Amino acid sequence: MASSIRECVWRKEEGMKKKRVWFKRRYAALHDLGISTEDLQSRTLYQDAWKRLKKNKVAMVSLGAIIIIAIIAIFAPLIAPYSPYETDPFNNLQPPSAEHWCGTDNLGRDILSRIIYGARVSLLVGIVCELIAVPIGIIMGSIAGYYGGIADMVISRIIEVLGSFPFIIFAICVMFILGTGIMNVFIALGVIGWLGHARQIRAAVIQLKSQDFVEAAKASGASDFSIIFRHLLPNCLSTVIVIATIDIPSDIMFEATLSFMGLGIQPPQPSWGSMINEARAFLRQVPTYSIFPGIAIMILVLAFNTLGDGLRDALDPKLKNL
Amino acid sequence: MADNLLEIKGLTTKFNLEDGVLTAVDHVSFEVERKTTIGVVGESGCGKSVTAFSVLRLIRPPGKITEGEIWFDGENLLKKTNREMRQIRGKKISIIFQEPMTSLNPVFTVGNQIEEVLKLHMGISGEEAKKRTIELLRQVKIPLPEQRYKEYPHQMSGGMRQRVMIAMALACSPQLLICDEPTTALDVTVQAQILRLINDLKEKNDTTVMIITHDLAVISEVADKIIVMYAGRIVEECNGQEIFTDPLHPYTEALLKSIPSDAHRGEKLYTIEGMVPNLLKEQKGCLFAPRCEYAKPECFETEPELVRVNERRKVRCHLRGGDPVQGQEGME
Repeated sequence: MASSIRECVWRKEEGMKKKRVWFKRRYAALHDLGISTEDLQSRTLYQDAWKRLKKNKVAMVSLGAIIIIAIIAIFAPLIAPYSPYETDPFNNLQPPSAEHWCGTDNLGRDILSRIIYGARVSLLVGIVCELIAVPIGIIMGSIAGYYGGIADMVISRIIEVLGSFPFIIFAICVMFILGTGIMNVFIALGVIGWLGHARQIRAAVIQLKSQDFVEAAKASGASDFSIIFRHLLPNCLSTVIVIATIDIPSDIMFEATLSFMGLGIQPPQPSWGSMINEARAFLRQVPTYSIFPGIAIMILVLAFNTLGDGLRDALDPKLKNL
Repeated sequence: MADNLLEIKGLTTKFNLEDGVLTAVDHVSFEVERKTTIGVVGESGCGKSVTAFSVLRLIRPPGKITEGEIWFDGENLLKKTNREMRQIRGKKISIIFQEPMTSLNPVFTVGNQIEEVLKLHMGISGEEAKKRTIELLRQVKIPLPEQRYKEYPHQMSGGMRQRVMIAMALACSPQLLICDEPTTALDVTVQAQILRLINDLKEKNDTTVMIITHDLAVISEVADKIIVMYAGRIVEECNGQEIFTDPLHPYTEALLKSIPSDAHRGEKLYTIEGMVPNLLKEQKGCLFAPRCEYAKPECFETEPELVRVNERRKVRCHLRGGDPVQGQEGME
């Protein structure tokens, strides 16, 4: 019996010797060709994803549109033809003309300039709300997913209770309590925006935590904290990027809705939502007054939506049915 | 008295499942001498991995260590706090897993992952950690370690990844290295390389090694002590390689018979009839009796004790006489 095992081992060793020779030859061949193995550069996941994203024309156009809008928003004082606050009572409610490309509003302010300044509010709302919602979502989701048990139950119930509330009614309540203003819009949307993120991250963490490398990390003495932040979250980073991008347009829409209802950004500060609200009274006389801010919202939301879809396809093909 | 690094006394690990309590490890006791290699053999589900995970206290609910003591280097691991256990894992006891393809984090380079262990337990980082990591990769015979240091796990083959896992396990020069089926997922030529590597590194670093496997060829030649497990119990224990020439337990004998060999080429391969008993049910008699070709009526009535046959060997079988092993009586 032992002899057959010895024979088996002997065979393994023979095979090994052959393989070693083969390896030597292969490296020698590479050297002869002048190919240094240093040249065999590696590509990371994000380089791959960027390559895939570049192939997606719609997503690239959207990305371009967002970048242009961002530049316009940042350099608004340089780009806007007029001050957004400068009134001109004799030239109010003008249709588009060479002087005022988008016409003027009921106080004679230049609508194009107000739209340009309004882009600041919309972009800021989209980004700041996600900056609030994503960390909360990550912390809550990973605690629920990693620890399970009571922690999971409590957090999941909180998510369900808050989630069963119509989002907009909740936001209206928060705005009502906190008062109007841009800071409070951030808080209202951020406080409730994490629900979806937490649920997604919880699911991703549950899936990841049974992976062998997590077990291996535990066996090498890593603490729970380092397992979550080093092993679990970097592995669901692509999910986080995708859900954040997909949520930005809805934040922009909610800001516009709140401002439309007079609960968000207060006049005279220009916001696309509040502009449409003000234009409501003049819909018959000067339809362009409300049409142009509407188009602006549409372009930005559409751009973020298609970019989000493109990112999802590039980064995380598993999320295709989100 | 022998110098034992690890002493397991009456270890019992149970899993509270929905349909009952499953005793995965049932009063297992053995000692591992310093700087030796111990092989734990048995088929799938016999409790060998659970034993290893119990030593590291990595049993997750619904599993629980209900009884026993695990003495490692003079300390009872079951009395340690979680924080103290974290200090021990990876530093004093390391484990290599069965599945090298998924045991590495896909989003970090291998260098980064080895450095993490160094940073955690040795407190070294930066250039020094990098130097040490490349040294470790060289030690496990990875060609071009400077290049591999920067690579991601998906760029490596299974054998290569298992070498990285070994480098990671040995990063802090542990006293005990547990290898949980280290070669199962690899092809035969690579298996031999990995085993030789583990053996070489063991000699070099004076590590104690515990190899868990279902492949008898793996532990032949390397193991100084062999434990055969069946259904959560030790059925045969042997200091040395005698089980290959003179198996005492019918189960060991049957295992050896099921190895394909040249002598029986062309014949139908021997298989052990029947199934592993369902541990959720109450068992009576010897657990191997239903599959045993020598079973006597007595075997179905009472469960045999683990008895000492001579100074090197112990067996749990009614067919072999011997003195009951001390500390084992009344435990069953």
